[in-house]
Amino acid sequence: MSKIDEQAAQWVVRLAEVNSDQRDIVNAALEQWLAHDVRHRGAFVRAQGVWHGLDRYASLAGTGGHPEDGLESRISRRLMLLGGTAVALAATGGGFLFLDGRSAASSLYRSNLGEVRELRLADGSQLVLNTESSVAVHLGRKERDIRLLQGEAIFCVAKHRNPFVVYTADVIVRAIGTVFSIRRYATHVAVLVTEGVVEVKSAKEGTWRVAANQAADVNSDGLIETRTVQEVDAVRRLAWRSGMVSFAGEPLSVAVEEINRHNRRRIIVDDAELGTKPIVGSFRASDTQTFALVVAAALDATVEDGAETVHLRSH
Amino acid sequence: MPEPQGLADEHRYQWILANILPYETRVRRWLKHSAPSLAEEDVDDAIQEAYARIWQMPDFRRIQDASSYFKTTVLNVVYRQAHRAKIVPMERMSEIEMLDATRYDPGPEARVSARQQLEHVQKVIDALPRRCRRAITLRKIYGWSQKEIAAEMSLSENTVEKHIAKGLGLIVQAMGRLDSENDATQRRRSGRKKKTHVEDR
Repeated sequence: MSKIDEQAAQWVVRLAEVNSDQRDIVNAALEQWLAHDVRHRGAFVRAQGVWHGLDRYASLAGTGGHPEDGLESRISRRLMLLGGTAVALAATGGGFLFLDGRSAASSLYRSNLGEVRELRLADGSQLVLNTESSVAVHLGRKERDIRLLQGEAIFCVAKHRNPFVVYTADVIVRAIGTVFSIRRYATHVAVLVTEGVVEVKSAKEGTWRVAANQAADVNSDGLIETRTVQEVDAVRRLAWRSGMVSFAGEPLSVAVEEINRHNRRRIIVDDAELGTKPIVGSFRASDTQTFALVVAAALDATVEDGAETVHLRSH
Repeated sequence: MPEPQGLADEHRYQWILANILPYETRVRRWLKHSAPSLAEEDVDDAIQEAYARIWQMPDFRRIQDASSYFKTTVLNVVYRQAHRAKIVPMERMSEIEMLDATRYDPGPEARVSARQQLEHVQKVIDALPRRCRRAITLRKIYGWSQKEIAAEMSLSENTVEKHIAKGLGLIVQAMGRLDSENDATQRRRSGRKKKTHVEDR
């Protein structure tokens, strides 16, 4: 047993026995011990929980009653299955005719706020749209022409003699059969390849080859920067596909921005210093509540719920 | 959500017992498997700090998914501890960076049921040293005061209190580790039989 657990148990038993004229003295000494180290509080809380529970165990054991009576948690048993969760896809309109300026008919698909939408194209390719994204698709006779108009998408490209070309901002990404994602930011375009090879082209720099587990960022000046991405980071970046967002020590402000992309109810970080603290973990993209509560516990913040917003600020 | 600000302490202890403690075993297992370079004390520290942080929440009844809430809070504690430390071995740092991506898998059996908890607590109580067991049973099951127990057992009140505290400590420890090494008590038993036997784990 750890020293702290041992001391915590002593405090709990002491406190349960103390009579009223000693209570203040014992409480003061306890507060001092608790304040000394954050782990003391944790061990004390856990020991108190068990101590209180022992009454219940005692009565259950004594009466032969059913352990389920009342002891089982009242909270919902919905357990978040990290990763493999099926995302409920809200049915949306999408797919109406769209004129691409070349008099060829394209189909326009868009996803709503908080929605992750999967599409299967006539050539067998698969598209997954992240929240608030739109693409125009034209499967032409010589080229499969895709326009990423807004947001972010994953492209699982079926093999076909016609090249699969995604145009976004001033960037052109060309593939034959491969898997990659593109996110269109206000200031730049980020390409991530998870299978095969694509060619990324900008007006300034010409054509770059980007292979699996590589990322390319194209800034507004058309400069291309490529780098290798660890597989785990690629998985993290594409966690949205299964309705999750995942952070590996990003500042809270960045994480909040990411969560807010998916939700109408926005999180607002009220002080700048809190916004710089790192956060790790995977969260359901639609669950602002759990995210806010984890931040509160992990970063010493308070949560203030409003109808439209959730405010986070330091204690 | 018109929730009252804050809960009475007793309710908070009950909440922790019912909603966080049942996942401690799983969270410990996940930490040990995914970051083997973390020492037992590091795991203890992280779990204890997480309990303290959860305790500080003004109203934790809003937490819907206690399992991932607990796990993610522990993850953030581990991460910050590692970043605050001056020297952290490379190996451990990379393990910690990978932690979130490793499988935690809160499957249907992740939550230790009330029945399992009860059975386990009974086993632990049964295996406590005799005086320790008698003192804690009289105190918690029969509701005797320490004074009454002291008279019954011909011990000083102070000694009775020590026995009860020791028993509580062993139960707390066992409840957070329902799977690992069966229970502390079994090890103790075999230790008693063969004093010289080196711990086999």
